[in-house]
Amino acid sequence: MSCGNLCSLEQTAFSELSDGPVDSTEVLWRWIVDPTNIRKENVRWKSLLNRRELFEGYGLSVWRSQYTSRDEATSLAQKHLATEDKTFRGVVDVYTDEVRAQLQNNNRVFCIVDDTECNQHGDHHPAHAGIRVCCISTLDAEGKEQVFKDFLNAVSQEDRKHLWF
Amino acid sequence: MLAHALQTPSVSPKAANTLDIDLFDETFGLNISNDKSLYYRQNEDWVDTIFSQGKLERVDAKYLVLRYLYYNQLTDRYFDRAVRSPEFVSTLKGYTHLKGVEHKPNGIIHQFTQHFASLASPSHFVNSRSAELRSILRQISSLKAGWAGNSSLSPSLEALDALQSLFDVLPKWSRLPDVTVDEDGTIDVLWRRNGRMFSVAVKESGTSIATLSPSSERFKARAYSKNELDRLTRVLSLPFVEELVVD
Repeated sequence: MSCGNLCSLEQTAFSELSDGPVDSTEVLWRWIVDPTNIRKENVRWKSLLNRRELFEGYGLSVWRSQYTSRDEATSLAQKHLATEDKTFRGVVDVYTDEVRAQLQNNNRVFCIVDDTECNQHGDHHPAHAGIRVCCISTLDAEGKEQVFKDFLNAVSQEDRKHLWF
Repeated sequence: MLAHALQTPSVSPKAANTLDIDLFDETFGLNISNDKSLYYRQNEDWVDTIFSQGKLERVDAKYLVLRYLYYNQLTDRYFDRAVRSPEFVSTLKGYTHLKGVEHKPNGIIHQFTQHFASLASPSHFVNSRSAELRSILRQISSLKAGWAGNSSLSPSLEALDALQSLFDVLPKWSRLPDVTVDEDGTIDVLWRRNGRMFSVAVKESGTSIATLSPSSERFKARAYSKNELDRLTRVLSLPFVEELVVD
């Protein structure tokens, strides 16, 4: 499967609960959780992404910053993490246009959809979105590693992290 | 590199207060000035002060010399011999006003090498780094299935074995990598610098996949079996990889 500028999943609303398809100008937030993503007060960049979520599951869970706020993100994260011994510390910016521009063998790699399902329990939130691999059938093991590391490298920028707590 | 390793450097006291170490196309010099300062020189340029006014100014200057020596697979025994050459020792006699220097001919050398050894001697550096790598390996080996949630996998024995082999072939002066484990049991070994990243993903089967990011025409992601680590070693010595991996 090869995606055009925007694939069909990205062009129309995926979820009835969302505020519409994710625009390429949007900034998305990926949560930073302590201790999962923090070691000695430094962000462990690699831990922000994992292969299963990206390649095997429903996609990488992100939040659309223009439809949520710091307070709401904090409240949501604290509720989500309540049963785990983890603390919400902030977010890292993920740029939609940058993710959508990634190519492998001249095919787009990731699509970003307004998937409002935000956890495994079936809960939904209108500001939630998912980053999925849209050309997975064209990726071999090396190709997967390359797109994963390119994504990781793009996200791992000090000026993109916002440690609020 | 091998040719370099086989080449013997020459040491020559060109002046009473100067020791020159000629290596390949470069000369490293140590010089004691009239004011008892000790300088470090590379080729014709005096680039750094090591001791001045009785204080150790820049240990890293000498660190550069040793690093160069060691990087070219010369032993620290060689350097020790160079510093202790009779000509150089004679220039150091009386150089005892430094705080902590013992009043005996080799006092300054003792302090000189001790300061250096504590921070950056090759053996210290390599041993220290090896210890850290061993510690990383131990930590990763201790992960049990479920370490990051019910479905998370611990690295396989094949992956741990491959990681050990990778650590064994890292260049001596490589920076300590960021090593993490993914929930699927993959071990990631990463070096990042100035927005670029070289990484090796060690998979459950023991296969290692090397990638350079952002992706580049110069280097395509490649998989290496455990039996192909010599090829991975060559990748590590590519200039655009080495500049990310080596300090």
